[in-house]
Amino acid sequence: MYTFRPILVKLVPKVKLSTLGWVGVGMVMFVVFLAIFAPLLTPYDPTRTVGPGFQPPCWEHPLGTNKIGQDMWSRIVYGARTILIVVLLSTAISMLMGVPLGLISGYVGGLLDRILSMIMDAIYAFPSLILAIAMAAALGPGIINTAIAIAIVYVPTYFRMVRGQTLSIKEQLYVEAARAIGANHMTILARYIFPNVISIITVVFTLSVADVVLTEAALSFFGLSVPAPTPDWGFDLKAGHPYLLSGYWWLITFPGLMIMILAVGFTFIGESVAGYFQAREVRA
Amino acid sequence: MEEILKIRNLKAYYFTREGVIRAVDNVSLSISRGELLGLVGESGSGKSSLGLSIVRLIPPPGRIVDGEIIFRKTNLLKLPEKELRNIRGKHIGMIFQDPLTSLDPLRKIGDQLVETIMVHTRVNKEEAKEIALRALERVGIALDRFDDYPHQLSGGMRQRVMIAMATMLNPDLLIADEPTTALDVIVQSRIMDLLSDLKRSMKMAILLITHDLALVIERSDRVAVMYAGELCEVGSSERVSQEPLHPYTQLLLESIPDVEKPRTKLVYIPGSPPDMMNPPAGCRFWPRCPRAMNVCKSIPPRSLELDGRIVRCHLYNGGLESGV
Amino acid sequence: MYEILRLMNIRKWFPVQKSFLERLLAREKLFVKAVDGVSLTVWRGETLALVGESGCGKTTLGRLIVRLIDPTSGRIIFNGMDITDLRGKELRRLRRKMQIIFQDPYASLNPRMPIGEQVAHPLKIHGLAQGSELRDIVMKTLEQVGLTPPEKFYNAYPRALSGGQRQRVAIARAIVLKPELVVADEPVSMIDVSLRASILDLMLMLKQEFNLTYIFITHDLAVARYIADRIAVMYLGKIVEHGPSELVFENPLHPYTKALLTSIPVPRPLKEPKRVELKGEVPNPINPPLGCRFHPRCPIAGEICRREEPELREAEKDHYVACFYVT
Repeated sequence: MYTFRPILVKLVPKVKLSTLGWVGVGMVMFVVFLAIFAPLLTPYDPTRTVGPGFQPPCWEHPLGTNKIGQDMWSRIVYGARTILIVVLLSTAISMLMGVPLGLISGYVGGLLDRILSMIMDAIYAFPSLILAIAMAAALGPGIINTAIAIAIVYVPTYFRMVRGQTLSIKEQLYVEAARAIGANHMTILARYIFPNVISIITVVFTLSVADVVLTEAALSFFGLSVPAPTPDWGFDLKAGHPYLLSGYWWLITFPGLMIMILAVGFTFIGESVAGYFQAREVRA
Repeated sequence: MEEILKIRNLKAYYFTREGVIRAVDNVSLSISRGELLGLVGESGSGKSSLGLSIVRLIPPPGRIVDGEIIFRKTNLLKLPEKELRNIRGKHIGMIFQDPLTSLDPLRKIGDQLVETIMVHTRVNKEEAKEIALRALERVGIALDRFDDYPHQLSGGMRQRVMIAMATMLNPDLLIADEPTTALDVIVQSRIMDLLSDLKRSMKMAILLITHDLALVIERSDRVAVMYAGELCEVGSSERVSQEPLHPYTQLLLESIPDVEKPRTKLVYIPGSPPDMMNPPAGCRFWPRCPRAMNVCKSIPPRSLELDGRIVRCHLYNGGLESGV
Repeated sequence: MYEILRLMNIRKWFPVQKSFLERLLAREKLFVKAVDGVSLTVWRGETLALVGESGCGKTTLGRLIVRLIDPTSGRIIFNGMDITDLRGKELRRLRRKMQIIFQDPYASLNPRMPIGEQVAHPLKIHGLAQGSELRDIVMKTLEQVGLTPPEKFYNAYPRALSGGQRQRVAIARAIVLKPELVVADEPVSMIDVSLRASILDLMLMLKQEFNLTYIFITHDLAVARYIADRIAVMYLGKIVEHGPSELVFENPLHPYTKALLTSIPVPRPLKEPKRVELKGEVPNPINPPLGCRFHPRCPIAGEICRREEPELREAEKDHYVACFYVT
């Protein structure tokens, strides 16, 4: 962990986070740590039956076992991988689609802009969960399909913010200066507009990634995400929830807790980053 | 003439996260009735902060740290907010640089004038309207514009409305911060004529804050030059322009192009204004001063009174120390 | 004398934005006639000052000249070539020969690009240099505009520089291509007065060094007098007077020029200023007055001024005025 943290810190631009922001970073890093060092942290294979079912937390199984005797701790740890992969993949897809479309739409304007905006608004108007469910059902199970289903829900968010920022930057004097020195449209978009849009992409990312986490959890709760026996927190929630009244609290408490930690952690970071950029705008 | 405003040892600092900006650092100045004092300075000089400090409108993180502002025998810095508000607008009028942001864009100008009058006086609405109309007339705005909105007027007219608003209650002092910077030179000269008329007829004192030294010398009775939060020199505009004492004043005079003098070589002051969080020790101008001596680098000069003028410069230590 | 630029009856009319309902109901379109019939010749190697008050169209004219905006009508001839209708790649190639310096040094530089890259960018775009040769040229240019030591500025970002330094970067960026014509739009208006002379002198020095021609746009007649060989005075979208700088300043002929010159503050305490007074305000460029545009405010307006528009005519050698009562 100590080798990764300094590298990550250097990648993140010089953003001053509030205390809460750092708490969020800690929470997220905890999950990342679990995901990266999963094999070192777990004695059992999370997909195999390794003990009697419904064991409460004990020495051999710190978080207990589930209905078919899988070790909960291992499932939690490996579940971190699942959810992080889906979240990162879907965010990447959203960005790769939303950002260029937003840039082009904002820059070119006209009919193209109107059509794209209408499409994006239509997608945006759908309640995100229902849309995700519909897409996931249509695409079928699997990590990639789930990532795509979720990605589509968030493309309009990136599109709108990037388009809005592009519209305002387009009018700036330094863009006019770029035209004056003979830059063509591609150059202007790539060197003058895009670099000034990155900050807003960061904000959108940090604010929406918590949402993505919850959407993934919901999808897997409905069994529309990764197929069993891949360890997945949402799946475990669904599997465990019928047994709550029977007293088998460890089946849902830990998956639920982990989902909360990741989502809230990202939210703390998101609020802190957004607040930082807002303050910077005000001062400038 | 009677002294109407006396600023003594005023210090106003901005306490930002990156450091403390000593925007106004120990400035003492006075203005008399019926006098136009031009306060000149460039970026970072603190002149606007000084104007705001007089009426305690300096925005956070700025704060007045020390000093006295004595207006007609009352120290404004010790006044409770309620009484200060009575003075602002009625006894001290204020005009700021951009009239579009100082006038409410959603209300007619006539209504804004009337409201201001009624807040400060006990007249009824009819009488207030009369006063407002007369004020508009005095600044040369056609009376049928009473019901216009700010955006319907040109920049020059809006500025004149601001002047009407600031002067209609016959204040003793008018603080005008860059009142003509955004305006055409022709409109500017008309507004300056207007201010001079008001000064004469109402015996109003005017503090004109601007970066335009030519304007100040042409129109003011007295000139005060500020650099990096401190006063350099104060004197009548005639004497300061003909015989500038402080090296900064001299260089500033030589750097302004004179439209009536063909191609005289223009001077510029090397370097740039200091970082106000870490200004140079001693005299703040020394790094750019052609006549800096060793003492200038460590000891700040004291204010000296010389022949009815004030100058802060080690070159003149032979003068009397001033208690001002 | 070699003619580097000729403007032939240039007009730029901006359509007034109207709401949908207004467009349905209105019978005619309204235009802001920012530039309304300007014809001008610029000679190689001179500094022509384009002066006027805000709203007179000088900024628009500057942008028209470098083809950042397209004229509504009229022709622009540069070095004998009609460039009015150039587009795309050809227009971009033209940019090597004419450049522009903007008024606001805080807004005209890309906040996310280091200074060295911004000055290098024009060269890169036109494929004129690469690698270490490129770097050398940029360093030399930075030195030439007074940003020394150039290494210190090469990697810096605009936010680390003062206004005056940023404007020098803008100048460097404009001259790095060794253009023939440079339009400077109020290049010192946002710079501290005590620093202006250094920028102006820099521009004069660069003009000598690179054999540049300047079109210097300003509202400040004192600055214009300091720097210009010739001066053209604009009012409400048209040129009302032009000629050699000394002639125009010593002997202003158009009533507007006279009013402008006498209104400028001079650093001498005046007791009784001899000012030419103008009545009224600058009219709205959507509806310029009929006849001579200046007549509603003109102290010497007569009958003919209300009916006809005066043409620019030579009043004395090289000194042109558009006024019925002068020529």
